[in-house]
Amino acid sequence: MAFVQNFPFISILLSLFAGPISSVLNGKWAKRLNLFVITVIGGMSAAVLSFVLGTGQEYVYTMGHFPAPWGNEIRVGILEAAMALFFCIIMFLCVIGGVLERELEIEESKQNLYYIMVNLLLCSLLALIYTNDLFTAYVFVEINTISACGLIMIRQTGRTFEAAVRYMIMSLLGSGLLLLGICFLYSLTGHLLMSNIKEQAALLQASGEYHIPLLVAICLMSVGIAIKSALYPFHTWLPDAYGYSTLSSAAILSSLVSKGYIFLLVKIFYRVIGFDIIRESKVINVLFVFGVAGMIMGSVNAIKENDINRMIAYSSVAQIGYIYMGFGLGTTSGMIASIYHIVSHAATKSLLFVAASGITDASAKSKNFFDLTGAGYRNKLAGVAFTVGSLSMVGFPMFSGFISKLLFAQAAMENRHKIMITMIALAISVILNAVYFMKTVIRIYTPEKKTVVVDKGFEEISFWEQPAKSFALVCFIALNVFLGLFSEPVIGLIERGLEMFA
Amino acid sequence: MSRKVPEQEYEKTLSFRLKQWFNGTKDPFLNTVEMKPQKEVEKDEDIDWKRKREKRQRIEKIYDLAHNWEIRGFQKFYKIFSGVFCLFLVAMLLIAVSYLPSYGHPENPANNEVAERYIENGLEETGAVNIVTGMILDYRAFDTLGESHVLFIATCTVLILLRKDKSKDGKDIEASDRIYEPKNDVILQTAARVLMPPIIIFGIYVILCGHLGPGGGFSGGAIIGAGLILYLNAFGFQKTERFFTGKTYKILSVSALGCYCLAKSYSFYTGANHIESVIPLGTPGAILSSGLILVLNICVGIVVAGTMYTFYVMFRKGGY
Amino acid sequence: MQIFTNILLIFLIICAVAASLSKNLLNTILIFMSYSLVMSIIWILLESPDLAITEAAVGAGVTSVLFFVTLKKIRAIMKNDEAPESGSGGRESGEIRTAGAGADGDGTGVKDAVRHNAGKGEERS
Repeated sequence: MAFVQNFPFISILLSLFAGPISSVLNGKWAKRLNLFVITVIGGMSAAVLSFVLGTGQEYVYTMGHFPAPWGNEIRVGILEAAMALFFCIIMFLCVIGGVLERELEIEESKQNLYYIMVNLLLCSLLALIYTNDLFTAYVFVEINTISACGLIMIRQTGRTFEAAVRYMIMSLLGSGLLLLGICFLYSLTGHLLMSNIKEQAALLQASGEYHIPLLVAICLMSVGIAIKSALYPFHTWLPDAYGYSTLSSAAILSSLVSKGYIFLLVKIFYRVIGFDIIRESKVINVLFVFGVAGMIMGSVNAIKENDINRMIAYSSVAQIGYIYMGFGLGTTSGMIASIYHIVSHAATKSLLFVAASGITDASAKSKNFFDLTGAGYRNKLAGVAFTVGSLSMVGFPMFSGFISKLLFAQAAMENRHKIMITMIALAISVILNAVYFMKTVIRIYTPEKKTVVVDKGFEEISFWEQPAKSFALVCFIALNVFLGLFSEPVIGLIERGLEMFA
Repeated sequence: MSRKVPEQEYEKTLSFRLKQWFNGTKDPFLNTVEMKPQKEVEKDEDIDWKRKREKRQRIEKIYDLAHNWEIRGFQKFYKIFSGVFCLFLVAMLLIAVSYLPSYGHPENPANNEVAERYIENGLEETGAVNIVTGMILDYRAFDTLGESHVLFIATCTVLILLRKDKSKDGKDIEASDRIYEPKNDVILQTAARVLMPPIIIFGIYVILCGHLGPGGGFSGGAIIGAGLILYLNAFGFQKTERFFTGKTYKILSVSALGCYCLAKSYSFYTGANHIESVIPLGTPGAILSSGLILVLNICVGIVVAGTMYTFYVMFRKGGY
Repeated sequence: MQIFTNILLIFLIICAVAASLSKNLLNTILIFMSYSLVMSIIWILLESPDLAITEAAVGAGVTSVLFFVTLKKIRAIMKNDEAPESGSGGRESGEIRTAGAGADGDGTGVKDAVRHNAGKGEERS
């Protein structure tokens, strides 16, 4: 067994252990430890990815001395290693980009608690990506929920408390439904390891007994995860939670936390139950309808907003609707489109949040649209970054959003029944996205009168004044353009990973 | 000025216009769009006041719940609809459960080779007489590792929310907290003096004998935590701080969780790489047996006891 | 034994429904404690003593004590909104809880506290 194969386990335990250690360090050292841990784990994930690409097949790593159905195990393939590497990159850039805001908005003595939350969030994301056991997934979903609430709540204002309480209640409801689904599956199949459940589920589907509890279990798990990742009718916790929390929390939550749950749903569909059974059970039709509704209603609500952070948060609702629409198409190319959209949305949404904070910095920290006029000239890098992000969201060629919309349209072609609805929904949502994103881009590039600028105290912010945020913005822009121009290798990677995923 | 062309000519060139456009100093509509000159908006106090009054009246009309039939209708509809929906959900779940295999039937899917091996070979492979403890701390130890960290992160979240620094409020927060309570209540103190030692000893017994009988780290830790809360309630913060301060909690939790992580890393690493582990299993039935399970039980017990106590102290006072 | 289990289960359902329908918060917490106790006995009847010990210690012990302390903190603010010494100590920690504390009588005290804290929250956010 090559030493590289130990890396996933080492990365999970390293981030897990860094949590309690950060509780005895002070703020600065906790930040350095956090960035160090994220970098090391990113490097290890890259090594694992190259190893798995080299051998061409996935491997199983037993956690403990006992093999599959009796002990725990994690399973590492191309898709898992690639997602782990990508999540590490995004988390690193988000943590760096929000440094200034954290120092201003969080009390001195509670700074190290923030980094404990980030460490444990990274650990739970890695465990959700690598795990091959359904109950381990549930335990780390719990850690994910609590640390996400901690990230929202650490900025102690009235609105963040309310947002954190609402998020906690709705998220716990989702976890409860997920646990009910897991209990049903256990009494039907008797196993908790994902591969074993899949064999038993195939037997159950063939023999036809227990088909009602199996259907109910699938529904419960899908609805539970849909609540936690803010599918349309269950999205009401999202605008407050993303709009009012501190910058790095909003960026991490919107790009990584919801995507971790969606990745778990992909795993449940492919590895626990098998995609054929899911397709026959028509659950994906329901997800498709909710996804399409989310795409349209999310954008409609974003147009009404007057606060830039809440507008970007509502746009998240729309993008998650896209991903569930991709699931609902029911084909492999639909899945590939959804997973590519996970990657593209994670990169773009965090870019938008960091750029929006750069823009509001140049407007005396006011989030109101009237005050943002002309901010693109006051903070040039943030203006360019926000434009890149908006164009990517709208689907302009050369950026990553265009590729994902193209993939969705191509995937829709293969499904005769849903093609009309998908195409119409894609077209309407592109127009709606353009309305609120382009209106903001035009507004930040409309020159503002000098008297107003001096009156309200807006200052110009140059590149070198905020080195960490500028570095994060440049890296994000580069990542977005890379995903837009060189998407073929990434799509090939996802396709190969999905083949060995089942 | 060291330009080659004079200023007026320079202003006509393309590069100057480009620079003006980039910097935002150029008016985009000048010379391109026919526009009437715009008047500045005049601030009229009267109109402002009228608009504010209208807005206030509108808001009052909306929130006048007694007469706003839209909101009242919606509230009634919401109550009825949520009741019907909950009943529907309950009915659907009950129907689904009725189709499940019946409880305790020998041919259930749950009684398969997995459960068989746990029951028959559990004692020899893990060394623990209590099969449940052997399962959660040896076969499926990864889940328990996650669970102990759930407790830790819950404590951190409560610390974020409730911990107050002593530097800001110089006042004695404990005094304000106990205004309405009798101090040094005789009944409570006598009962605490009698009950505390048995509670703590029982908690330690449950932790140490987790692998021999029912109990384990979680139960024992909860019992010890409850005992510490009783002591705090009876005797006040001063006396409790003689042996349990904030620093104690930090050191205990870091060392317990660190010890757990190290022990389990050793176990997982040797297991995955197929190396035999050197930890002896001992004779079943003795206290020092079953490999790492005793150590893990103690670590989990310490974490749980500290968590319970910290929650109580944060709720009461906001600091240690 | 089966009849005993059925009676306990029915009692469990009654406790759960009563806990959500009760108007007084103190009564709700006491019903919750008895729910925990019944649950602990049912665990023994289902032959899992580990769960019974943990449920008894945690449910009927620690969580109920934490609920009582929370209730006390809410009431302290409601009674003592104008007194200086307990005001600032309790006000900050009670900011979120006063918003939900309206279930218990004391109408004006709670409304003033809620408006005051909502105003503070608005300024700071």
